Amino acid sequence: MEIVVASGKGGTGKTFVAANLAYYMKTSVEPVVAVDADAEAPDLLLTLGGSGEELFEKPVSASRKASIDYNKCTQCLKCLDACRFYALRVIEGKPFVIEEYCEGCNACGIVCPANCISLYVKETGIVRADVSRSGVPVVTADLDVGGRNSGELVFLAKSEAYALSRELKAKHVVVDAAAGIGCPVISSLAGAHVLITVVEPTPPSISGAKRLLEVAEKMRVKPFAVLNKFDMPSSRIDDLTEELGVEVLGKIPYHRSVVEAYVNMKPLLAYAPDGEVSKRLKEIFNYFVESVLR
Amino acid sequence: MKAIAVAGGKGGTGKTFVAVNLARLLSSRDKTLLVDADVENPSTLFALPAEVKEVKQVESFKPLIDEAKCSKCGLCVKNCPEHALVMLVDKRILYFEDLCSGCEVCKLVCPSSAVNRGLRVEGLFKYGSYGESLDVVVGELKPGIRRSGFMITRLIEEHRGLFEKYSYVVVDSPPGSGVGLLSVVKEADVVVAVSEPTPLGLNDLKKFLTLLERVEKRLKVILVVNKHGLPGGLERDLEEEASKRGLPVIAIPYSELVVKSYVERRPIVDLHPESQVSKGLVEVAKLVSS
Repeated sequence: MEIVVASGKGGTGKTFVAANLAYYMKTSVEPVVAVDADAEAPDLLLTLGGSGEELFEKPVSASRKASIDYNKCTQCLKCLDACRFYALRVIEGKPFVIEEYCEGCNACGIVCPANCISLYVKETGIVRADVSRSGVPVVTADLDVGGRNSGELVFLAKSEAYALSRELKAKHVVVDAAAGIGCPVISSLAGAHVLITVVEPTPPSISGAKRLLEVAEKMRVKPFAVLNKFDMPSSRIDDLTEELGVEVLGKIPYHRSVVEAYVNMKPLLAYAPDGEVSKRLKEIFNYFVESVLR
Repeated sequence: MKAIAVAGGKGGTGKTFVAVNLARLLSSRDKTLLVDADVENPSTLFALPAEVKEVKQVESFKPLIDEAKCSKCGLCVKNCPEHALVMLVDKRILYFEDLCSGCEVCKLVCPSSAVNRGLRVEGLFKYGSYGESLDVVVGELKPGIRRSGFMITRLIEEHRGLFEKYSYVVVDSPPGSGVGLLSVVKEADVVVAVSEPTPLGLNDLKKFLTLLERVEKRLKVILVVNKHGLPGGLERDLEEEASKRGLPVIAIPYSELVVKSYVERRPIVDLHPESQVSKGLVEVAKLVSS
């Protein structure tokens, strides 16, 4: 089964839940492969203890960009009218490609009468695989800064994770998704079986979760929620099940040991296995594995 | 016009919180526009009780193929960079809207003028205001649409004229370090990088600061260490990172008042102007405008 941990809003505890779920499954149930699909800010490997053993690293070239041959350019500027992405700008009479806006669609190349525009392929990031110090195999999508097409990178990272899971005879893949509901999150949800939405009891988080659930419904991924930091001071939430319309797997309290576990680069279940937060996590994960995954 | 991008890498560090309060403080000096560029999960209106006065649909191109004119030559299918057009064995053409980027290449290459311009909605722009001198523009991606980067581009490019009418433009940015963020910080004069004293905050901040090195013009960068004093926190590592790069640091303490102000949907600088949190925010505003 492919389980995606996502949230809409950032900072609600996706990586925290994903890392501990993967660690729980690895130690108590069966082999698992984890995927860090937050390619713009990947932290899952770090949360699982950092790299204990590097398995591989592959560069990914997933975006195309236009390039202008100024020896041939007649400065007719027809390319400017053709571009729908604001990726061409005129400087001193000449067209220039704004690389980060360019989607490599070649509309400019098609209309250019001087045939002076060509496309080149640009490296956008890497997919790497490691066995973390806590023993969980982690495939990480890591986008170059300012990079485009993180969805493609996530797709490739997931493909690598599936290959690795066959090799390791792992039944489950846990995906730690990016914040938001855009391209990388949609790629995370594509083909997944179960979504765990991590919600904190604040209005922006609930709004983000609702937007995410709309996407999950379109993509036919079975949704669940967990309420993180439920005891946050002054927060107000009456009934999350009613609010979101999905089954809530449980509530996780906030405790300083969560931050301390991060600082010590261990999943909380390994750092403070007998603490109150770990107890709750184990109850939630046990229920999830026994009732949802079986 | 001074453009201020509030960003920082990790999600949930307090970008929206800082952006809203900063905009509120700057608006007491001069006309200010708050731009919510976190289009996947826009949250400024949860933190500011702005009144939304206008909502505009953000539309983009989709091909409408005129079967009567279509010669089934397949050039549109062959040239579609996103593989959003597929030709079946019986020469019928299928269109997959989710894949389409709206580039119009199909229309450009069609020799029979059989591709007409259709429109689809990708999101919303919302316009509002709070008080006399603070206006808000929110970009909101429609759930199910992949292309958040282009929504951000449009939010900036289609409002350049509007930005010029303000003394301060404060942009609440999405988390991360990708292309959407690059297009925001490239337009900025000042970047307020909001981080938190956790290893994740530090890790993502480093990646974000690397992104800033890609911006060619001189940027003023301010590091805000939010949730300062979090038990077991890594404040010192964040400060070291800033001093390595010569960045000024402002600490904002962790406080229950922050959550309370969210629940009351009011900027903390209005609700609790004397709090330590508000004092930190005033420092940020001073540095930004100096």
